[in-house]
Amino acid sequence: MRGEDPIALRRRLGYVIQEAGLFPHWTVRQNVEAVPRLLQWKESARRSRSDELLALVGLPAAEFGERRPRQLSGGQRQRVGVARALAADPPVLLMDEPFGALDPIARRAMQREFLDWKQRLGKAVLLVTHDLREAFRLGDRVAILDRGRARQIGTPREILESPADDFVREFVSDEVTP
Amino acid sequence: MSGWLAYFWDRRAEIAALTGEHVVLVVLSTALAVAIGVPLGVALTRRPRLARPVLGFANVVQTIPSLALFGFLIPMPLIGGIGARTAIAALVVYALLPILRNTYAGISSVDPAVVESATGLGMTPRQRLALVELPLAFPVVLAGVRIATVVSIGLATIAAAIGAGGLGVLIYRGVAIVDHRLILAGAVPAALLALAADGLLGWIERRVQP
Repeated sequence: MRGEDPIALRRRLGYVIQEAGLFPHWTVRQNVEAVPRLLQWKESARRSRSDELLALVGLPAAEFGERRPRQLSGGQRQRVGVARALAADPPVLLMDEPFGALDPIARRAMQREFLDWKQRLGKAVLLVTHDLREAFRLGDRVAILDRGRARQIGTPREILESPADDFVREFVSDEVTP
Repeated sequence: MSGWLAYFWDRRAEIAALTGEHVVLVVLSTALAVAIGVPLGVALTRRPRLARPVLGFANVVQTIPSLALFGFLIPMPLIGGIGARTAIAALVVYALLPILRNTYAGISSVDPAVVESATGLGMTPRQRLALVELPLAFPVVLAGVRIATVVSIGLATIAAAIGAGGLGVLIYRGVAIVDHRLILAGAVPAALLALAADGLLGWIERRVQP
Protein backbone atom coordinates (compact mmCIF):
# COMPACT_ATOMS: atom_id res chain seq x y z
CA MET A 1 0.00 0.00 0.00
CA ARG A 2 2.89 2.27 0.77
CA GLY A 3 3.84 4.59 -2.08
CA GLU A 4 0.53 4.06 -3.83
CA ASP A 5 -1.69 6.97 -4.86
CA PRO A 6 -4.25 7.20 -2.01
CA ILE A 7 -6.97 8.54 -4.33
CA ALA A 8 -6.69 5.59 -6.73
CA LEU A 9 -6.45 3.19 -3.80
CA ARG A 10 -9.63 4.54 -2.20
CA ARG A 11 -11.52 4.04 -5.47
CA ARG A 12 -10.58 0.35 -5.36
CA LEU A 13 -11.77 -0.11 -1.76
CA GLY A 14 -15.45 -0.27 -0.96
CA TYR A 15 -16.00 2.02 2.01
CA VAL A 16 -19.09 2.06 4.25
CA ILE A 17 -19.21 4.42 7.22
CA GLN A 18 -21.61 4.81 10.12
CA GLU A 19 -24.81 6.70 9.19
CA ALA A 20 -23.85 5.76 5.60
CA GLY A 21 -22.63 9.34 4.81
CA LEU A 22 -24.78 9.44 1.68
CA PHE A 23 -24.72 12.64 -0.38
CA PRO A 24 -28.01 14.32 0.59
CA HIS A 25 -28.23 16.37 -2.62
CA TRP A 26 -27.99 13.30 -4.87
CA THR A 27 -30.60 10.65 -5.59
CA VAL A 28 -30.15 7.06 -4.41
CA ARG A 29 -29.02 6.07 -7.90
CA GLN A 30 -26.52 8.94 -8.16
CA ASN A 31 -25.11 7.94 -4.78
CA VAL A 32 -24.63 4.33 -5.90
CA GLU A 33 -22.98 5.52 -9.14
CA ALA A 34 -20.55 7.84 -7.31
CA VAL A 35 -17.37 5.79 -7.73
CA PRO A 36 -18.15 4.57 -11.30
CA ARG A 37 -18.64 8.25 -12.17
CA LEU A 38 -15.26 9.14 -10.65
CA LEU A 39 -13.77 6.30 -12.70
CA GLN A 40 -15.54 7.71 -15.79
CA TRP A 41 -17.57 4.65 -16.69
CA LYS A 42 -20.01 5.00 -19.59
CA GLU A 43 -23.54 5.93 -18.58
CA SER A 44 -25.05 2.63 -19.73
CA ALA A 45 -22.51 0.65 -17.69
CA ARG A 46 -23.17 2.81 -14.62
CA ARG A 47 -26.87 2.38 -14.99
CA SER A 48 -26.90 -1.37 -15.30
CA ARG A 49 -24.49 -1.60 -12.35
CA SER A 50 -26.70 0.54 -10.12
CA ASP A 51 -29.81 -1.45 -11.17
CA GLU A 52 -28.04 -4.67 -10.23
CA LEU A 53 -26.76 -3.42 -6.87
CA LEU A 54 -29.99 -1.77 -5.78
CA ALA A 55 -31.76 -5.08 -6.50
CA LEU A 56 -29.10 -6.92 -4.46
CA VAL A 57 -29.69 -4.76 -1.39
CA GLY A 58 -33.48 -5.05 -1.73
CA LEU A 59 -34.19 -1.51 -2.93
CA PRO A 60 -35.29 -1.94 -6.58
CA ALA A 61 -34.22 1.03 -8.69
CA ALA A 62 -37.69 1.48 -10.21
CA GLU A 63 -39.05 2.27 -6.77
CA PHE A 64 -36.09 3.78 -4.91
CA GLY A 65 -33.65 5.02 -7.56
CA GLU A 66 -34.97 8.58 -7.76
CA ARG A 67 -35.51 9.11 -4.03
CA ARG A 68 -33.30 11.30 -1.88
CA PRO A 69 -31.50 9.83 1.15
CA ARG A 70 -33.71 11.78 3.56
CA GLN A 71 -36.76 9.93 2.19
CA LEU A 72 -35.31 6.59 3.38
CA SER A 73 -35.23 4.88 6.78
CA GLY A 74 -31.91 4.38 8.60
CA GLY A 75 -31.70 0.75 7.49
CA GLN A 76 -32.47 1.65 3.87
CA ARG A 77 -29.80 4.36 3.90
CA GLN A 78 -27.30 1.85 5.17
CA ARG A 79 -28.20 -0.53 2.33
CA VAL A 80 -27.60 2.25 -0.18
CA GLY A 81 -24.25 2.84 1.55
CA VAL A 82 -23.36 -0.83 0.98
CA ALA A 83 -24.50 -0.69 -2.66
CA ARG A 84 -22.39 2.44 -3.19
CA ALA A 85 -19.35 0.76 -1.67
CA LEU A 86 -19.78 -2.26 -3.97
CA ALA A 87 -20.32 -0.21 -7.14
CA ALA A 88 -16.87 -0.50 -8.70
CA ASP A 89 -16.59 -4.16 -7.65
CA PRO A 90 -13.79 -3.65 -5.12
CA PRO A 91 -11.92 -6.75 -3.95
CA VAL A 92 -12.05 -5.50 -0.36
CA LEU A 93 -14.93 -3.92 1.53
CA LEU A 94 -14.14 -1.64 4.46
CA MET A 95 -16.99 -1.11 6.93
CA ASP A 96 -16.57 1.30 9.84
CA GLU A 97 -19.33 0.60 12.40
CA PRO A 98 -21.84 0.21 9.59
CA PHE A 99 -24.79 -0.79 11.79
CA GLY A 100 -23.93 1.29 14.85
CA ALA A 101 -26.64 3.91 14.39
CA LEU A 102 -29.51 1.47 13.81
CA ASP A 103 -32.13 0.33 16.31
CA PRO A 104 -31.70 -3.27 17.56
CA ILE A 105 -34.33 -4.74 15.22
CA ALA A 106 -33.01 -3.05 12.08
CA ARG A 107 -29.48 -3.91 13.15
CA ARG A 108 -30.40 -7.62 13.50
CA ALA A 109 -32.00 -7.60 10.05
CA MET A 110 -28.97 -5.90 8.49
CA GLN A 111 -26.62 -8.40 10.12
CA ARG A 112 -28.61 -11.30 8.62
CA GLU A 113 -28.47 -9.65 5.21
CA PHE A 114 -24.80 -8.95 5.60
CA LEU A 115 -24.11 -12.67 6.08
CA ASP A 116 -26.10 -13.39 2.94
CA TRP A 117 -24.19 -10.79 0.85
CA LYS A 118 -20.88 -12.00 2.21
CA GLN A 119 -21.65 -15.51 0.97
CA ARG A 120 -22.85 -14.40 -2.43
CA LEU A 121 -20.17 -11.81 -3.20
CA GLY A 122 -17.10 -13.66 -1.96
CA LYS A 123 -15.23 -10.49 -0.98
CA ALA A 124 -12.85 -9.84 1.86
CA VAL A 125 -14.63 -7.61 4.36
CA LEU A 126 -12.94 -5.65 7.13
CA LEU A 127 -15.61 -4.57 9.61
CA VAL A 128 -14.93 -2.39 12.64
CA THR A 129 -17.39 -2.60 15.55
CA HIS A 130 -17.61 -1.94 19.27
CA ASP A 131 -20.12 -4.76 19.62
CA LEU A 132 -18.37 -8.05 20.34
CA ARG A 133 -21.55 -10.07 19.69
CA GLU A 134 -21.73 -8.47 16.26
CA ALA A 135 -18.07 -9.27 15.64
CA PHE A 136 -18.56 -12.92 16.58
CA ARG A 137 -21.79 -13.23 14.62
CA LEU A 138 -20.40 -11.71 11.41
CA GLY A 139 -16.68 -12.39 11.46
CA ASP A 140 -14.77 -15.44 10.28
CA ARG A 141 -11.73 -14.07 12.04
CA VAL A 142 -11.85 -11.45 14.79
CA ALA A 143 -9.10 -9.12 15.94
CA ILE A 144 -9.42 -7.69 19.46
CA LEU A 145 -7.88 -4.22 19.51
CA ASP A 146 -6.77 -2.31 22.57
CA ARG A 147 -5.56 1.23 22.06
CA GLY A 148 -4.66 0.56 18.46
CA ARG A 149 -2.79 -2.72 19.07
CA ALA A 150 -4.08 -6.16 18.19
CA ARG A 151 -4.25 -8.26 21.38
CA GLN A 152 -5.47 -11.38 19.63
CA ILE A 153 -6.48 -12.44 16.12
CA GLY A 154 -8.42 -15.63 15.57
CA THR A 155 -11.74 -17.30 14.93
CA PRO A 156 -14.49 -16.56 17.46
CA ARG A 157 -14.05 -20.12 18.83
CA GLU A 158 -10.28 -19.66 19.36
CA ILE A 159 -10.82 -16.36 21.12
CA LEU A 160 -13.54 -17.76 23.39
CA GLU A 161 -11.73 -21.00 24.22
CA SER A 162 -8.19 -19.74 24.57
CA PRO A 163 -7.96 -16.00 25.20
CA ALA A 164 -4.41 -14.73 24.59
CA ASP A 165 -4.18 -12.67 27.78
CA ASP A 166 -6.14 -11.25 30.71
CA PHE A 167 -7.36 -8.27 28.70
CA VAL A 168 -8.99 -10.50 26.10
CA ARG A 169 -10.34 -12.92 28.74
CA GLU A 170 -11.97 -10.10 30.68
CA PHE A 171 -13.28 -8.38 27.58
CA VAL A 172 -14.82 -11.54 26.20
CA SER A 173 -16.40 -12.69 29.47
CA ASP A 174 -17.87 -9.23 30.14
CA GLU A 175 -19.43 -9.06 26.75
CA VAL A 176 -20.57 -12.59 26.02
CA THR A 177 -21.66 -14.26 29.27
CA PRO A 178 -24.38 -11.94 30.76
CA MET B 1 -51.07 62.30 -4.52
CA SER B 2 -51.66 62.70 -8.25
CA GLY B 3 -49.39 65.73 -8.10
CA TRP B 4 -46.57 63.48 -6.83
CA LEU B 5 -47.14 60.90 -9.51
CA ALA B 6 -47.14 63.62 -12.16
CA TYR B 7 -43.88 64.93 -10.68
CA PHE B 8 -42.28 61.47 -10.92
CA TRP B 9 -43.71 60.94 -14.39
CA ASP B 10 -42.19 64.18 -15.66
CA ARG B 11 -38.78 62.99 -14.48
CA ARG B 12 -39.17 59.40 -15.63
CA ALA B 13 -36.32 59.57 -18.14
CA GLU B 14 -33.83 60.81 -15.54
CA ILE B 15 -35.09 58.37 -12.88
CA ALA B 16 -34.77 55.47 -15.32
CA ALA B 17 -31.24 56.48 -16.35
CA LEU B 18 -30.10 56.87 -12.73
CA THR B 19 -31.75 53.56 -11.77
CA GLY B 20 -29.73 51.96 -14.57
CA GLU B 21 -26.50 53.47 -13.17
CA HIS B 22 -27.50 52.28 -9.72
CA VAL B 23 -28.05 48.71 -10.90
CA VAL B 24 -24.67 48.73 -12.68
CA LEU B 25 -22.92 49.88 -9.47
CA VAL B 26 -24.62 47.18 -7.39
CA VAL B 27 -24.27 44.31 -9.88
CA LEU B 28 -20.58 45.02 -10.61
CA SER B 29 -19.62 45.40 -6.96
CA THR B 30 -21.59 42.33 -5.82
CA ALA B 31 -20.10 40.24 -8.64
CA LEU B 32 -16.59 41.32 -7.63
CA ALA B 33 -17.36 40.58 -3.97
CA VAL B 34 -18.52 37.06 -4.95
CA ALA B 35 -15.38 36.54 -7.04
CA ILE B 36 -13.22 37.47 -4.05
CA GLY B 37 -15.37 36.32 -1.11
CA VAL B 38 -16.28 32.78 -2.19
CA PRO B 39 -12.71 31.56 -2.91
CA LEU B 40 -11.47 33.34 0.21
CA GLY B 41 -14.23 31.76 2.33
CA VAL B 42 -13.33 28.31 0.94
CA ALA B 43 -9.64 28.96 1.67
CA LEU B 44 -10.50 29.84 5.27
CA THR B 45 -12.23 26.49 5.78
CA ARG B 46 -8.93 24.85 4.75
CA ARG B 47 -6.99 26.98 7.26
CA PRO B 48 -9.32 27.32 10.25
CA ARG B 49 -6.63 29.06 12.31
CA LEU B 50 -6.82 32.05 9.96
CA ALA B 51 -10.61 32.16 10.00
CA ARG B 52 -11.06 34.11 13.22
CA PRO B 53 -8.58 36.91 12.48
CA VAL B 54 -9.70 37.29 8.86
CA LEU B 55 -13.42 37.32 9.68
CA GLY B 56 -12.70 39.66 12.59
CA PHE B 57 -10.82 42.04 10.31
CA ALA B 58 -13.66 41.99 7.77
CA ASN B 59 -16.06 42.75 10.62
CA VAL B 60 -14.05 45.78 11.69
CA VAL B 61 -13.85 47.12 8.13
CA GLN B 62 -17.63 46.82 7.99
CA THR B 63 -17.94 49.30 10.87
CA ILE B 64 -16.18 52.14 9.00
CA PRO B 65 -18.88 54.73 8.19
CA SER B 66 -19.53 54.46 4.48
CA LEU B 67 -19.18 58.17 3.71
CA ALA B 68 -15.78 58.12 5.45
CA LEU B 69 -14.70 55.07 3.44
CA PHE B 70 -15.66 56.78 0.19
CA GLY B 71 -13.60 59.77 1.35
CA PHE B 72 -10.60 57.62 2.29
CA LEU B 73 -10.58 55.91 -1.10
CA ILE B 74 -10.51 59.10 -3.18
CA PRO B 75 -6.74 59.76 -2.78
CA MET B 76 -5.81 56.07 -3.26
CA PRO B 77 -3.90 55.09 -6.41
CA LEU B 78 -5.61 52.80 -8.97
CA ILE B 79 -8.91 52.30 -7.13
CA GLY B 80 -9.26 55.93 -6.02
CA GLY B 81 -10.36 59.14 -7.66
CA ILE B 82 -13.76 60.65 -8.30
CA GLY B 83 -16.39 58.49 -9.94
CA ALA B 84 -17.92 55.04 -10.21
CA ARG B 85 -14.67 53.09 -9.89
CA THR B 86 -14.03 54.33 -6.36
CA ALA B 87 -17.64 53.73 -5.40
CA ILE B 88 -17.46 50.15 -6.67
CA ALA B 89 -14.28 49.54 -4.64
CA ALA B 90 -16.04 50.75 -1.48
CA LEU B 91 -19.19 48.73 -2.19
CA VAL B 92 -17.05 45.59 -2.68
CA VAL B 93 -15.56 46.14 0.78
CA TYR B 94 -19.05 46.18 2.35
CA ALA B 95 -20.43 43.29 0.29
CA LEU B 96 -17.44 41.11 1.08
CA LEU B 97 -18.19 40.33 4.73
CA PRO B 98 -21.62 38.67 4.37
CA ILE B 99 -20.41 36.64 1.38
CA LEU B 100 -17.16 35.62 3.07
CA ARG B 101 -18.86 34.74 6.34
CA ASN B 102 -21.67 32.74 4.74
CA THR B 103 -19.29 30.82 2.47
CA TYR B 104 -17.18 29.89 5.48
CA ALA B 105 -20.24 28.95 7.56
CA GLY B 106 -21.88 27.06 4.70
CA ILE B 107 -18.85 24.88 3.92
CA SER B 108 -18.11 24.35 7.63
CA SER B 109 -21.66 23.15 8.30
CA VAL B 110 -21.55 20.30 5.76
CA ASP B 111 -22.05 17.01 7.67
CA PRO B 112 -18.57 15.59 8.53
CA ALA B 113 -19.83 12.07 7.68
CA VAL B 114 -20.61 13.26 4.14
CA VAL B 115 -17.17 14.87 3.77
CA GLU B 116 -15.51 11.72 5.11
CA SER B 117 -17.38 9.47 2.73
CA ALA B 118 -16.48 11.76 -0.20
CA THR B 119 -12.82 11.36 0.70
CA GLY B 120 -13.23 7.64 1.44
CA LEU B 121 -14.77 6.98 -1.97
CA GLY B 122 -11.70 8.49 -3.63
CA MET B 123 -12.68 12.05 -4.53
CA THR B 124 -9.80 14.47 -4.92
CA PRO B 125 -10.07 17.58 -2.69
CA ARG B 126 -11.12 19.55 -5.77
CA GLN B 127 -13.87 17.05 -6.68
CA ARG B 128 -15.05 17.01 -3.07
CA LEU B 129 -15.38 20.79 -3.15
CA ALA B 130 -17.10 20.99 -6.54
CA LEU B 131 -19.37 17.94 -6.25
CA VAL B 132 -20.21 17.88 -2.54
CA GLU B 133 -19.23 20.86 -0.40
CA LEU B 134 -20.17 23.79 -2.67
CA PRO B 135 -23.52 22.33 -3.78
CA LEU B 136 -24.47 21.64 -0.15
CA ALA B 137 -23.29 25.10 0.99
CA PHE B 138 -24.92 26.88 -1.95
CA PRO B 139 -28.15 28.04 -0.24
CA VAL B 140 -26.13 29.55 2.63
CA VAL B 141 -23.70 31.26 0.22
CA LEU B 142 -26.66 32.61 -1.74
CA ALA B 143 -28.22 33.99 1.47
CA GLY B 144 -24.96 35.93 1.95
CA VAL B 145 -25.14 37.28 -1.60
CA ARG B 146 -28.72 38.34 -0.95
CA ILE B 147 -27.76 40.30 2.18
CA ALA B 148 -24.80 41.87 0.35
CA THR B 149 -26.99 42.92 -2.60
CA VAL B 150 -29.67 44.55 -0.46
CA VAL B 151 -27.07 46.40 1.65
CA SER B 152 -25.27 47.56 -1.52
CA ILE B 153 -28.44 49.02 -3.00
CA GLY B 154 -28.83 51.24 0.06
CA LEU B 155 -25.15 52.12 0.29
CA ALA B 156 -24.87 52.93 -3.40
CA THR B 157 -27.11 55.99 -2.87
CA ILE B 158 -24.21 57.48 -0.88
CA ALA B 159 -21.86 56.89 -3.81
CA ALA B 160 -23.36 59.97 -5.49
CA ALA B 161 -21.38 62.01 -2.94
CA ILE B 162 -18.17 61.13 -4.80
CA GLY B 163 -19.63 61.55 -8.25
CA ALA B 164 -20.47 57.93 -8.98
CA GLY B 165 -24.02 58.61 -10.16
CA GLY B 166 -27.01 56.43 -9.33
CA LEU B 167 -30.23 57.27 -7.52
CA GLY B 168 -28.28 59.08 -4.79
CA VAL B 169 -27.91 61.98 -7.26
CA LEU B 170 -31.61 62.81 -6.85
CA ILE B 171 -31.43 62.44 -3.07
CA TYR B 172 -28.42 64.77 -2.71
CA ARG B 173 -29.97 67.31 -5.05
CA GLY B 174 -33.23 67.13 -3.06
CA VAL B 175 -31.40 67.62 0.22
CA ALA B 176 -29.45 70.58 -1.19
CA ILE B 177 -32.55 72.46 -2.31
CA VAL B 178 -34.84 71.08 0.47
CA ASP B 179 -37.24 69.42 -1.97
CA HIS B 180 -38.95 66.31 -0.51
CA ARG B 181 -40.34 65.20 -3.82
CA LEU B 182 -36.86 65.11 -5.33
CA ILE B 183 -35.54 63.09 -2.35
CA LEU B 184 -38.38 60.61 -2.77
CA ALA B 185 -37.76 60.41 -6.52
CA GLY B 186 -34.39 58.87 -5.58
CA ALA B 187 -35.35 57.01 -2.40
CA VAL B 188 -38.52 55.25 -3.58
CA PRO B 189 -36.94 53.60 -6.64
CA ALA B 190 -33.95 52.57 -4.48
CA ALA B 191 -36.28 50.96 -1.93
CA LEU B 192 -38.26 49.20 -4.67
CA LEU B 193 -35.00 47.97 -6.18
CA ALA B 194 -33.94 46.53 -2.81
CA LEU B 195 -37.30 44.79 -2.34
CA ALA B 196 -37.17 43.36 -5.86
CA ALA B 197 -33.59 42.06 -5.43
CA ASP B 198 -34.47 40.56 -2.04
CA GLY B 199 -37.56 38.86 -3.47
CA LEU B 200 -35.76 37.50 -6.53
CA LEU B 201 -32.75 36.11 -4.62
CA GLY B 202 -35.03 34.72 -1.91
CA TRP B 203 -37.04 32.92 -4.56
CA ILE B 204 -33.87 31.39 -6.09
CA GLU B 205 -32.71 30.42 -2.60
CA ARG B 206 -35.91 28.47 -1.97
CA ARG B 207 -35.76 26.83 -5.40
CA VAL B 208 -32.26 25.41 -4.88
CA GLN B 209 -32.74 23.87 -1.40
CA PRO B 210 -30.85 20.59 -1.81
